[in-house]
Amino acid sequence: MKDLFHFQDKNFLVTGSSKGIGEAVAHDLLGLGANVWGVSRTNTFNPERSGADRFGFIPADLSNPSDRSAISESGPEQYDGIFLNAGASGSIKPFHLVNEAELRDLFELNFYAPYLLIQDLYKKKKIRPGCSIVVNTAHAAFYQPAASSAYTGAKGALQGAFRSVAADMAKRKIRVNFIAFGYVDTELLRKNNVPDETKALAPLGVPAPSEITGGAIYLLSPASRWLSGTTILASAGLGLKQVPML
Amino acid sequence: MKKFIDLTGKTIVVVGASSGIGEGIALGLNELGAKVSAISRRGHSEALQGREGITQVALDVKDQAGIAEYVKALPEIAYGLVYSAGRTGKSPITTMNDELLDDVIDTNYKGFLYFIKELVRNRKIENGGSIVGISSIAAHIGVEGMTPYSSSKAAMSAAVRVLGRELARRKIRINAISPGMVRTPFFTADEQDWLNGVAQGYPLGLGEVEDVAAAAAFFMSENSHYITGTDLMMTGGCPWMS
Repeated sequence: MKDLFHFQDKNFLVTGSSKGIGEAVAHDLLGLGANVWGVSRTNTFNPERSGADRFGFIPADLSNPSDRSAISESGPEQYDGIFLNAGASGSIKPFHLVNEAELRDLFELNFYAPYLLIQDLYKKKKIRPGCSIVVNTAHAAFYQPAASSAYTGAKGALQGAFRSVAADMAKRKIRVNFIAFGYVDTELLRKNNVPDETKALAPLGVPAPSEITGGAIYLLSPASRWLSGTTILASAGLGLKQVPML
Repeated sequence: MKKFIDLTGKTIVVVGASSGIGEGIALGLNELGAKVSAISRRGHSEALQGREGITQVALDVKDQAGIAEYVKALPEIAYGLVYSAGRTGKSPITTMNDELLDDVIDTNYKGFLYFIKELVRNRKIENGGSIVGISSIAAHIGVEGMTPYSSSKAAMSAAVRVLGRELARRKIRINAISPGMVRTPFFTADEQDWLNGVAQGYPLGLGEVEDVAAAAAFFMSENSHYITGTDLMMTGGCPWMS
């Protein structure tokens, strides 16, 4: 059993590693003895916080094809786990106020970029058989949140596409699972001014990124070797009851 | 080096612990440091016998008074409960009867609720603790002949959603785990060919008891602090709803 939770000497790729959930997951993986390669546009990740010299930084704008190619050409020979985390939420607004440019932008960052990155890594055989890919989707893709159509649409597309990717990759024993967060106390959430009564729909509250890394780490570990195509809703109970019905 | 899961200092009640998945969960949690109160009707499993930190208790999950007595007498406040007691009771609708239906619902579902009720009302589960029900993929798909079983497991998954909110005020989280076909010692030598055929339908093969135990360990650890009211589909890559 203990072997199923070993991370030592394993190689992980984390996109969006400079802040929020990506940063927290990268720190945890380092703390557990893993080697981590982090991807972001600018590097603000401080590996010393985990006391580890096992961090490699890959500067890249994921929406840029040559940057994506550079990711597959650097790092270790193969990855044991990939946390597809980078994304953007855009601003909260009803659908009739979303302009085409921002809609396309959110699909670029939340859908095309991670899809094409994994395709490139797969073709270049950077994904080891038995590797676990964890996709940061969104709880919002599972219910009807108002004023989030562009973001929810892009995340829903990501979820749908990667379920199919999971089926395609199963023959190489590569696993694809999803982690769906609700409200997390990140820069994104603060910027969006989500009202307190909306956040209160999650009965366990609004966690900090460092408090909710567990689900992603479990899915990245061999302990979840029998899971593929599955979603963990790590959303503090959000969605169990959306409005005060009774 | 940090450990991802360390259950040292936690007492966990595992129900249905004398065989199969429940026994594997009791062993796994104990290996990760937990003290385990291992409950089964027989009160005995050879594999659990004599292991430090495991106490075996004989208790029938249909005995509500017995459950209340057991909980009140617990020497320490438990961190968690894993309910894995179950029977399949396979029967097409035409041969189903009250006796079978009651037996399956009482064992798979009502016992789960009564353990939770007694642990919560007697404050024998910590605030911030964790509850897991071992449900089944049968709660979510259609397997012929499994109406009583599938319904009992679906009831468990539904209860988890309700109790996710109800128990949140004490920061107790509750989740279900729904495994597909797991290779347990239940299957006889004669059934192995059939089982291997079933395995063909699973891209990642059949599950092992250890896989379910590892998921239970995750839910019994601090790593699942902000997860409640969910149902983890363990499907071996089968393209079922997940």
